[in-house]
Amino acid sequence: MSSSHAHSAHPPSAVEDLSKPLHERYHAASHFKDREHEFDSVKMGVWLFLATEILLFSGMFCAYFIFRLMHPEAFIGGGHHLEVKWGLINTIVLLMSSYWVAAAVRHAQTGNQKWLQINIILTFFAGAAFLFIKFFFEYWHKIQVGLLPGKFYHYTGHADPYEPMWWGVYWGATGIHASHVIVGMGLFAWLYFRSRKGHFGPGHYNAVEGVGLYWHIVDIVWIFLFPLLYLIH
Amino acid sequence: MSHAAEFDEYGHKDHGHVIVSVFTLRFILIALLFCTLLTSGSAWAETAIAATFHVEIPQWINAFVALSIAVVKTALVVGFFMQLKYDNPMNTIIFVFTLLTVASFLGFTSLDLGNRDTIDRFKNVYAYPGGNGLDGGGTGIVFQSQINGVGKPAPHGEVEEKKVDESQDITHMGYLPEEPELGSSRNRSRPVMGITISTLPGYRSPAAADEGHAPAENLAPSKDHRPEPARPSDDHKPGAAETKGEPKH
Amino acid sequence: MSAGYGHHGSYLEYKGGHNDPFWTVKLPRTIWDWASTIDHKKIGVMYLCAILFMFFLGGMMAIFVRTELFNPNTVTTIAGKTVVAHNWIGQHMGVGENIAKSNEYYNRTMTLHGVIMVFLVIVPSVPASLGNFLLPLMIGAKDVAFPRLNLLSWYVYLVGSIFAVMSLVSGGVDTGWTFYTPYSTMTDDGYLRVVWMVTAAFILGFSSIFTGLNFVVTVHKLRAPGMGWFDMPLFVWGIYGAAIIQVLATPVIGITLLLMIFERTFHIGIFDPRMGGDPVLFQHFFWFYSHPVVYVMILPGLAIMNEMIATGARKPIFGYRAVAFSTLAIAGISFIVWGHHLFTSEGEVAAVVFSAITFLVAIPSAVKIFNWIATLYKGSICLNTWNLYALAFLFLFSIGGLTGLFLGSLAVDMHLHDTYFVVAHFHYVMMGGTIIAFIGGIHFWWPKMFGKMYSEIGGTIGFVLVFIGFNLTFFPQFVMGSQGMPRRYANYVEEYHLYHMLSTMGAYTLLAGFLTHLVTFLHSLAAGKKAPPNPWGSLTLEWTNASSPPIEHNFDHEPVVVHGPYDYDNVIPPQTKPGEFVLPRPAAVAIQH
Repeated sequence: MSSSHAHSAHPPSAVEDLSKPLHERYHAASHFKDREHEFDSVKMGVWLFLATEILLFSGMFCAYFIFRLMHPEAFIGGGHHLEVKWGLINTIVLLMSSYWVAAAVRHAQTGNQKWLQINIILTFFAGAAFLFIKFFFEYWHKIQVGLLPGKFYHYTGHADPYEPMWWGVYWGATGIHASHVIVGMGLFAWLYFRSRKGHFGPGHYNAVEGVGLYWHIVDIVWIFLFPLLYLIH
Repeated sequence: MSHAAEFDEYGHKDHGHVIVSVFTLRFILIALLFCTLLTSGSAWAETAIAATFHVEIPQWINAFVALSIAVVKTALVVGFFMQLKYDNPMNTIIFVFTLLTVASFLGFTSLDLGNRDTIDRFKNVYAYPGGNGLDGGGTGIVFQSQINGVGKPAPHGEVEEKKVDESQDITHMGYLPEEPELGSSRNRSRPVMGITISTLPGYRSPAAADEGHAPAENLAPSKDHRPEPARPSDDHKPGAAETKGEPKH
Repeated sequence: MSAGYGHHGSYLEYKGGHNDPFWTVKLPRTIWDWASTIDHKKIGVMYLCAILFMFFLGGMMAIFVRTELFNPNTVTTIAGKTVVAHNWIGQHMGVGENIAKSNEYYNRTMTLHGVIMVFLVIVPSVPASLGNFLLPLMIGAKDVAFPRLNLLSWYVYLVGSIFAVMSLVSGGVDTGWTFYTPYSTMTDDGYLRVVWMVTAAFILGFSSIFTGLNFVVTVHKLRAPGMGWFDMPLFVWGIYGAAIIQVLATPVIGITLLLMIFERTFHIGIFDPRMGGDPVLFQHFFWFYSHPVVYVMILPGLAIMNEMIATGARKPIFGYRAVAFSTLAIAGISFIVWGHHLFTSEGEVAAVVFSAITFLVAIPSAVKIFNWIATLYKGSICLNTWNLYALAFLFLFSIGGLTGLFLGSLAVDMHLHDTYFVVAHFHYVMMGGTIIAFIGGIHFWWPKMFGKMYSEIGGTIGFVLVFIGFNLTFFPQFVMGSQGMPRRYANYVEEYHLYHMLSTMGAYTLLAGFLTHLVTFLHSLAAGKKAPPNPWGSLTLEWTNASSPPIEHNFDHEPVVVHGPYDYDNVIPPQTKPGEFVLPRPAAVAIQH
């Protein structure tokens, strides 16, 4: 949670050492015992939130699973329109970004402000690169040839009659995932501006940890989407 | 009631603040990248092997390999990058329960979708007059139908009259492409081959595409959602019979 | 003691200067105080007001539905002209004798009743209002773990309600509250109404998730010193179980409704058999959320019961641990029984499996009911309004639960599916369970929340009206349902006339009962006696440590738990007058401890 808190019951201490960086002057919200207690609670809250994310995506996976069993030809045929190389590159981009996030948490823990900021920026741009590849090399091509979900499907080549269904699942799953990447990028921009002000350090890095966990889950969803959409044939 | 119970998940101060070493992080990254290449490589190799040696590799092998590698990668990310290995065990419990919930969701949904009509075809062989299935010499429905053979004429004359037409037999309905008749779908919603996308307005059949016809203008979905019998795709009328807000019961 | 204790003054008090002019400073400041508050008590009270307003709205829809069903429509020819008599909704919606149009209005009214009651009233009812108010007080915390998230959840609820009302204003939807495909994807040419309504449900899901997440973390991390898991009041256990379900089940309705919006706007086909999809898949997705959420609705009701029964009988809850674990058992089982809503549409194998698992739910539910009855045994039972509600709950919930067993058995359900039997069953559980417990709970904690006593006479009259009205409304529905009256019909054959008439009269009685309660509450706020800190002689922390109404940070100093929540045998309730509440089993037992 953030540094100012309306119930903050800490009496304005008579002598607050303003020369200390912000993260050392941080007080936990008044209903927590201390920063440690707050960190643990926040982390548990984030994990519960991640549970909701996993279940949200499980709906897409369930739809994929059921319809793959029902219409295997359509799913195989649809999968052949995807280029493995872009999926592979995007997987690598996201794995790298996951590493950078983990490193950012580490730098926050050790108080290395410079590398904390660099890692946050790197992750932000990895997210941007992922979206660029997704939109420019994949979505754009599919929009042009008409490989679109449902009623917008107007592909003229030979296709299984149920292929629009595959494209519905493909666009639904990757679209929801991409929207999570966009949200994640916003969060990293926020983290960057806060880290420049020196909000994060060894004693207080709740936000870095929380956003990091979120980003890893986005990564994990892609780890599953990549084989399911691109590789299984 | 003791003070030891205070913040029982919170007692482990060493949890949650482990600083993972750079070596571990880099090692995990390399392992993840390796797994990624492995999964792409194995997919490629299967295609190559199948093409070179003309062997049919079952589809499940491909899926199994790809998903196993994905699970391994996930375990690495969750364990080390997300620090679950070093963390408060409560978070691991949350994660495990989430996975169990997902498993029950996928499992029970596919239990249904994978087992439609497994009993139905025994139930629907004969319409016994007021029957409980026991009038065939004291044999139950299932055994009786097995003895008689599904869809074969029954031994009893009066029962035979009630037997449904063989072409309407439930085992054929909706599963074989040459049987387009829908019948009553009282207990399934399995898609019926024959009523396909090709009956949607705006769909161009591959054949039509080859002949170079212009694409149909009307791409809007038909308002007419009554089940229609299948018909050849070239004599359908796009957007026919718009019914508005069909009153339901 | 950590800092932060020692702020005095009720949380309801105006914090500005005494001479602030009312309109220019005091009112805007008070409104801003409430709108920007992160105090769980104020958020709980705001939720309570919103939920009661929505309850009124949904209740009026129910009254419209019942009024329409009072008489069957009769079509007669008078002077060569066809006249539809007794077509109440049609006549009041300005479509007169257009019977098709009037049926559509009926469908919309019934859908709005369902949507409002489920998504806007019962799901958030107890956790978001009483739970928010009481959970931190009961475990001795200053607030919930994430107070801002709590406020956000309230605003998300508000936005969701606005979406629902927008759909209502623009004509409403007629899909039934379940949004089954293809109704929701095919009917209603007014394209946006269904989307608005579904978006409303989607947004309300977030509100529910935030509340649940907050409560789980609060229970885990913020218990007062000395309070172990089995020293928590059972109310907290119930809210905790419901919160787990809220966190794990609600995201699935999110993705379901998202897919439904995709289906409707892009026609992606996954619920459309013509494109290879499966409408029953929607039912699976929907009920994977909506069945667990039935327990989000009922577990908090059961939770309230624990407090009312134990206080009302002045005895410890019989089998504390069994009740606590049965809460978790219900929460766990709730995730694997959803298929019993689909007995007529899913395959037989799945139906058999789901039917078998469904009966498991009866075990933990029965554990609770039996334990409460055992608690009441030889207790000195008081007959305050809230305890009358608790006793009514035992009766009504048992009927609701046992008829659930009829519906859970496969063969019987084939006959009863989509009849009024189902309607009566879930009203006995949802209304006879949750709402009855909720109203009882409001009476129980009213002195604590607002610092005023309510009038017992008014409360008792209200209770009698509600109890009679409720049974009169819904018991005939069991009878006509078992005789084959299908649900969701605007009209019926003459044979059911008597039952429908009784049912409608019951609905009016129910309305009268709720209005009596409303008057009692308003009277209490305006002219009620000042409440003592512990009027019922209860032993949970919110009564024994906090004043009525609680101060801004809940406690004067960090509470330390020294007795269990139900140690009525040997603890004289603190904050009561000497001699007012005597020990039920004095001396001997107390000395042995």
